[in-house]
Amino acid sequence: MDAPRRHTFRSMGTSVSLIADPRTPPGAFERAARRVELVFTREDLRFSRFRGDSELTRVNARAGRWTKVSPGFATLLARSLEAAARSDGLFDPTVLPSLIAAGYDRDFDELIAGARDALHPSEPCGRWSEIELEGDLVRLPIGVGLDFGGIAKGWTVDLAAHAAIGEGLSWAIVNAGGDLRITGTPPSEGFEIAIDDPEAPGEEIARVRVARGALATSSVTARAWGPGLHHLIDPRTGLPADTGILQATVWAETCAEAEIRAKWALLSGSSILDHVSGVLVTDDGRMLTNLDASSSEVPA
Amino acid sequence: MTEPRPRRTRLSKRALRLWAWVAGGLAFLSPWAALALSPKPAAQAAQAPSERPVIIVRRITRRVIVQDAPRPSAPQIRYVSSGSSSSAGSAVAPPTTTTSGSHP
Repeated sequence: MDAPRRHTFRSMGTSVSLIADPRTPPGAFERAARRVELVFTREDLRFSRFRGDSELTRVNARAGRWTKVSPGFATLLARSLEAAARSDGLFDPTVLPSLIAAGYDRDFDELIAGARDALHPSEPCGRWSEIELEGDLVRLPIGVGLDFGGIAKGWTVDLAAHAAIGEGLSWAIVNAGGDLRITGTPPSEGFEIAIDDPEAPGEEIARVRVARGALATSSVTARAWGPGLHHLIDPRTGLPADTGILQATVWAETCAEAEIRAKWALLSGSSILDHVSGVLVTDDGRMLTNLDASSSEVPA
Repeated sequence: MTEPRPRRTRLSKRALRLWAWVAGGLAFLSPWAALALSPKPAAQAAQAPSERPVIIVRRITRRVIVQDAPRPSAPQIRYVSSGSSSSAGSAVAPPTTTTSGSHP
């Protein structure tokens, strides 16, 4: 097979790629790439907590009062609250105060440059059940801030992948920093996706073959700014998670759902493989998977 | 009274020049002689270099455990391989894309 067509740009603090069938006419591919970029620009304006003009910033600033939100915002908030209930609060969209207390108080590019405020004591989480959502109106409890984090990126990937197909591509993959969604009619054999080594970024640790759906990876080694300081807050402690799982790569029908499950897996430990399909990397040198590995190489 | 020692016969200039030529020639030829007399390498080694054996070094840093867990039906995804394709020394096709933990 010829090399697929690719278009790469930056958005949401990460690298985003559109990958498509090599036989796609150049004009259609360029239109699809433009639509994907537009989707990311629109959703970043909706969900970024680092932009003063985002809808999320406005909603967080109005905690305690009813605020009218866009249909997209209401849909993602509803989905997040449902995921929080389903995971007994392990997936929690209200970890923002804890995240800021742990030091993730600005855009990651600035954070790793060292422009971070002093650490603060951890903040309690778990107040997602107090959020009120009625149609397009939302009211956050006072002192609660939303941060959709990865689920907003997964949601955006889903929308962008569908937008790309809308331009006539036979198949498309949208990959935003490792969260990817396949749409259209892919080749019957699917695609080989490499999983990065959490301790050696850029090095492959495993490969999976995916025919459709989405794949998301959560890691405590990515977006880390010091020993034990990373962006995945354990709502049970209000501190960066430490469950023995370094990285979770999880499959789901949609990228937003894969993101939820990947975070859930990282916070649950290896028992999550009873509920989700994926590959876990532990901090004691094991790689756990429940995927079908028949007729494939699994070195001891 | 002691008798004087008999005087040594001195070589003639011609004889001395002849001995000098002989000694110089031997000194000049001695490295070749040493090489010629040293044992020759084995015949097999003297042949053209054969194809080198290929040693494939594979870095396995982790133990892969396939869980015997009640697996949700997800035939859309399958485990293919472990480790880096680049370290195996074989021509493995590059993956379509990569997933990682939200690296910036």
